[in-house]
Amino acid sequence: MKSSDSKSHKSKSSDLTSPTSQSSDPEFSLFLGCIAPNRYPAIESCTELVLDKLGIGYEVMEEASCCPPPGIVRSFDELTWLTLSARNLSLAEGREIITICNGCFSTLKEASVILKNHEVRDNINQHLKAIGREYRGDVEVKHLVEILYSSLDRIKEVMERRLRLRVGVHYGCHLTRPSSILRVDSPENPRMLDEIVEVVGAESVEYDDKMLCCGAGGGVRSSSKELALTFTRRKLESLKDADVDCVVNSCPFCHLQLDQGQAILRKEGMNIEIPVLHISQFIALSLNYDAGLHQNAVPSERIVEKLEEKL
Amino acid sequence: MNDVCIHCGICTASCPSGWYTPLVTRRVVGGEVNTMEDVWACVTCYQCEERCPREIKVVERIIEIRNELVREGKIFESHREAALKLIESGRIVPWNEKSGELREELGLPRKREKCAEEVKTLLKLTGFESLIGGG
Ligand code: SF4
Ligand code: SF4
Repeated sequence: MKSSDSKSHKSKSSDLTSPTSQSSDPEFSLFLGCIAPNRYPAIESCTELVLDKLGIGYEVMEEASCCPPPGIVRSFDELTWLTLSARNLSLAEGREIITICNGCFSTLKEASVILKNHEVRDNINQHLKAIGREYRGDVEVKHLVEILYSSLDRIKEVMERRLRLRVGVHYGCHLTRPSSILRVDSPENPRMLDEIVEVVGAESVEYDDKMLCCGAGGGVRSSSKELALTFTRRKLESLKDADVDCVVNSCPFCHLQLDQGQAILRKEGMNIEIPVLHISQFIALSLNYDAGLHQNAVPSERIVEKLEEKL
Repeated sequence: MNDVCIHCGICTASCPSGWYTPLVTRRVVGGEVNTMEDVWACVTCYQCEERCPREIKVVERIIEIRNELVREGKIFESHREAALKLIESGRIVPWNEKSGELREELGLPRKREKCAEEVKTLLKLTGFESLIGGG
């Protein structure tokens, strides 16, 4: 079989180190979270490449901590969750935050809504004082999906190849829910991610359980691996039935569960091989960049082969 | 908003965890059950809450019960380990040598995280450290 690894394609990852990747007066603060930088750094590099290409100015929040996650840390102690979120928000004062993870997004957005209340904010600021910080309450939080959705025309202009693929999009839970707070798209029938993949030439394929959780949320991945994998198996089976070329997500935690979970299920004999791509990687592919797919647990570079076959 | 449960069971019918576990969301909301197995079977997908005709904050209730259980010292060992990582590094999923390698391969800085000390201070102040038993 022809090897189609990243090296055989135009790689522009050296652009990352160029001074243009972080502009001097950026509009946005880029919040990377934990899983992308530490487990799937290709999501980080692709996000930066895509933002650069779209001409969106940002600064990476290097002092940020864990968001912390809405399921697990908030479930231990609400006050701790809100305090660490407030610290993260305070690092972006005066700017908008772009998150690349559903967990980070829902945590920071919900915290920003809760912290609009003066009394609550004053209480939390008592703690932040100890580290010399204060949150004044004026940070807006966005998900990368919202940024891409508002840049559809620009994406069309800069894309270099059409991705003629059958894609199953996976929204995950915390991009759209709870909708009363996140207000991004319909909680039951969202379209944003579908439209983004379609703009670069893919077909977004309907499949059963499209809105089903990957299984990892709420602390379940760590306390009950079997239950988490049960969700993942169901999701993957539906994707396979729909005969997709790959699954595109908006959350590194879902990404990890669908990719690593699939690797485990494959070892257990499940006959399945569906490449998993974060939306930043998918757009990076349309820009003809190396999307770092060789770092996935499930063999994923064949998606690039498939693209070339279909040219 | 009207937060009186009418026991319609729409939350239970919407709950994917309920397909596979004994979790009956309506009973958790009603305060009838609060075992570790029940409340930690929830993946926080919010399907129940989106569909509840009384706009009950179902997930908030589940999280409150989880908070109470942790205060009673009831916590899964795997969760305690995750919490200890947060205390040590400021991250639930911390950087390691392997992360460094993967990052360098992509031309990214090997590591760019500067938060551990401030997070440690905050976790002392909020009582998280003593709650988890980390020090
Ligand atoms: S959906 Fe709402 S009103 Fe109906 S049983 Fe569940 S919590 Fe009660
Ligand atoms: S949030 Fe939890 S209880 Fe509600 S539907 Fe999802 S898994 Fe079930």
